[in-house]
Amino acid sequence: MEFIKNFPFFSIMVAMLGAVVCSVLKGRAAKYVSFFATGVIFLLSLSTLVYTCVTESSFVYWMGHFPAPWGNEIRAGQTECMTATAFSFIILLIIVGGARYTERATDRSKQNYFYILTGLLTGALLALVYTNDLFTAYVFIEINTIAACGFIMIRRTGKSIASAIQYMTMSLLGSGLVLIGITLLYTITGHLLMENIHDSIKALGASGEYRVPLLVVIGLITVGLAIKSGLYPFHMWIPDAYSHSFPTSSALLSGLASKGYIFLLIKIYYRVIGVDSILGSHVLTIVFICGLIAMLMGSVHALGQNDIRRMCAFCSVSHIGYIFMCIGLGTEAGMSAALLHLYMHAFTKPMLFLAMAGIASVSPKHELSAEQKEEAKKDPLSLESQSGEGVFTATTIELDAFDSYKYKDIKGAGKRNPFAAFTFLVGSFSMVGIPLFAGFSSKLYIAMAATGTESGIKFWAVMLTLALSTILMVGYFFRVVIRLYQDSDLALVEKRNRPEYIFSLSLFIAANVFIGLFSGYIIQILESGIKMFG
Amino acid sequence: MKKINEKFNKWLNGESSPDIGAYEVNHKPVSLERKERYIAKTEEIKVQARAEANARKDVAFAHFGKIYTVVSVLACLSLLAVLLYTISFLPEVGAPGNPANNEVPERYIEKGLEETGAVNIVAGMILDYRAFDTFGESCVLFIASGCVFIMLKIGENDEEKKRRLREIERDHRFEPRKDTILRNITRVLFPMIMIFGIYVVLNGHISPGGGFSGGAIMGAGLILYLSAFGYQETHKIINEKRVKWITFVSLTFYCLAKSYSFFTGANHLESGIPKGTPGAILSSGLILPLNICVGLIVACTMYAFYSLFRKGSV
Repeated sequence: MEFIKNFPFFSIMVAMLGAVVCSVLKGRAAKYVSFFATGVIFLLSLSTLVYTCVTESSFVYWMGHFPAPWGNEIRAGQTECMTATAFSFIILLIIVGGARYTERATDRSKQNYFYILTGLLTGALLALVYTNDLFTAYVFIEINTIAACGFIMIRRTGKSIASAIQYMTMSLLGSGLVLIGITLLYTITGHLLMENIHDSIKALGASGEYRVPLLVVIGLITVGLAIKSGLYPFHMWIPDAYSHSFPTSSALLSGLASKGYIFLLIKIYYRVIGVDSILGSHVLTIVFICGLIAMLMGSVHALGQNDIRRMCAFCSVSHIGYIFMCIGLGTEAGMSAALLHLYMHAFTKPMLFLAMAGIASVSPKHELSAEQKEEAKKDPLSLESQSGEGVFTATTIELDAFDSYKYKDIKGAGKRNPFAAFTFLVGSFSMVGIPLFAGFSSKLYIAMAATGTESGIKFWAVMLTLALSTILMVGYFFRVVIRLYQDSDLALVEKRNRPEYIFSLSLFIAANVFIGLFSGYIIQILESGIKMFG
Repeated sequence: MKKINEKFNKWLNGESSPDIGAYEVNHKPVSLERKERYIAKTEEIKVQARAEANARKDVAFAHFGKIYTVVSVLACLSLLAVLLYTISFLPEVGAPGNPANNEVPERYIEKGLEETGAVNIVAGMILDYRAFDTFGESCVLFIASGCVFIMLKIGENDEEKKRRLREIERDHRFEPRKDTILRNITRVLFPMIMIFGIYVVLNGHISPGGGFSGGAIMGAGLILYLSAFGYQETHKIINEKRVKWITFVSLTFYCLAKSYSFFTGANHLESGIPKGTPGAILSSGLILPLNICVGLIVACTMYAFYSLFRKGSV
């Protein structure tokens, strides 16, 4: 066996070991360890991607001395390696670009915990991507969920703890449904390994046995993973979770935490249940309709927001809808368009959140008066009604001043922090779908996938919703962009950004343009990878 | 003689009792005022919101609580109905022809002893056949304890709470200082509990038990010791630094040992770890050291949770 086949396994273990090492380090050292580990993971994933693309093959890897139905196993193909590479690259950029916000928003004695969470999130995402076993997938879904909860509450303000509880409740409901689904599936097939379940389901389909349990299983797993990734009727946790955590956390949550589940769902559809059984069950039609509603409702809600972070959170709802709508098309072109849109969103949303942090840092600060501070120390609840932004029940961090994300306060921020505003501009171009940026090509492939469907209703539904949702998106994004470049009466002091912030955001911009220009190659790799799934 | 007689009479009349002065009950000083203020404030917010909704003639919002309850009960009932309906289609529990009784459990049962060297098949399964899943599970434990630390540990910027912490550490707040009954019983029980915990961990591959259960027993022993003797005594056995380093060393060893085992397994190399005679303490390869690691992690985590809830620091 070639040595390179060890790399997926190495990357999972490096992530976990990095997290464990962070537990005994101070904040700054933990940051370097985390950075180094993620860098190594990126290189490992990239070389595996090159290997699988050159040989056009996929391989399985035994986790131990026993072959698959008895031991554990991971699988790496082109799709998996591409996703792992993209995820590790994004995490790397977020760690670098958001380092300053992590330092500021978390208690000094707890900064290393942020990097423990990051390391475990990375490991869990990689394991979710590479896994070939449903129970392993469930274990790493758990790690992913708890890490995301930690990211929300590590800020320890009243509202962030409340939204962490909200997230946890919704997410645990989703995990529970997935677990029940896996249990039922094990009862009727007797296997946990993806390929074996697939064979059993084929046999069951031929004999017509267990049709009701199988349908329920498909429903439970789909609903469970849809709740965890925030599809429309289950999206209520998204706005609070993204807007009450600090920028680095929001970037990680929006870009990655919810994306691992979507990839897992696609993998389960293709490798476990099989496209034929899925198409026969009409679950995909429901996913398709929910996706369409999400595309519109997310944008409509976003129009009414006065906090730009909440606006971007609702934009996420809408984009999750895009991805699920593509999955709902049920064709291979639809799946690869869904994955391309997933990458595009994973690259753009963290960039927007980091750019917004830069914009907010030059917006007028809401200083608390001495009385308010006194009162806040005595009665944290009193602040809740006054500020509406951060409530400082648990700690007194950031009590002195906090940045404003309010629409009315960001006027003219584009002149005070040109770089952050430019990044926001690029991000919104990409989200809206201006040619040259990632969003354009992914929307193009969505439209092309829609033309490939057989039913005319689906085609027209996709086209109309796509157009309508894009127009709404132009409405709310360009409203902010115009506001950024208006004249304001604040003194014009240009802010100097830190070099690592500029470095990270520039790479994000470059990656966006790269996806926009070379999406053809990515789609090719994805399509041949998805063919090998089946 | 006279003294004994006096004591006997006192005891007979119920005037004395062996436990007087032998145990103490500390009432936790809860700031009721703060709690009441919190409840009043929440109530106020609710009433205000309802009044505003009434003013807006927003019927849905004004009755949100009731509608929410009804809808959520209905949703739960329908999920329950769906699941019960599904279960009626499933194969009977324990029937020999079930799909789950296939070649997978067969090999675990028939060849488990030979291939893993562990008499306890469950230990062989979770720590050898499916060790990757168990590695994930111990990471779940690790990240959960990390989140509890984030939530409850008192930070550097928190002066008020730090003052309280120092008070607790000098055992002035919660810990009884001369509870003779608790102390004497703990003196007898603590070594036994610890030895039993160590026994369960070390025999994990031979008899039922293992790292998770043995670690829980040891953690319970540490908590008992803390309740009886207070922080100043307990810190001589275990403190924050030790908890941190024990967890770190155990997890690192677990990670590296398992990585070695996965690497050799996947590349079809000989691992060179002797399996030993089945049934002996030193047998079954890596399972024994892994059980010890898991036991240490679980014991430290349980103690740390208790201590964090009690004073906000380990």
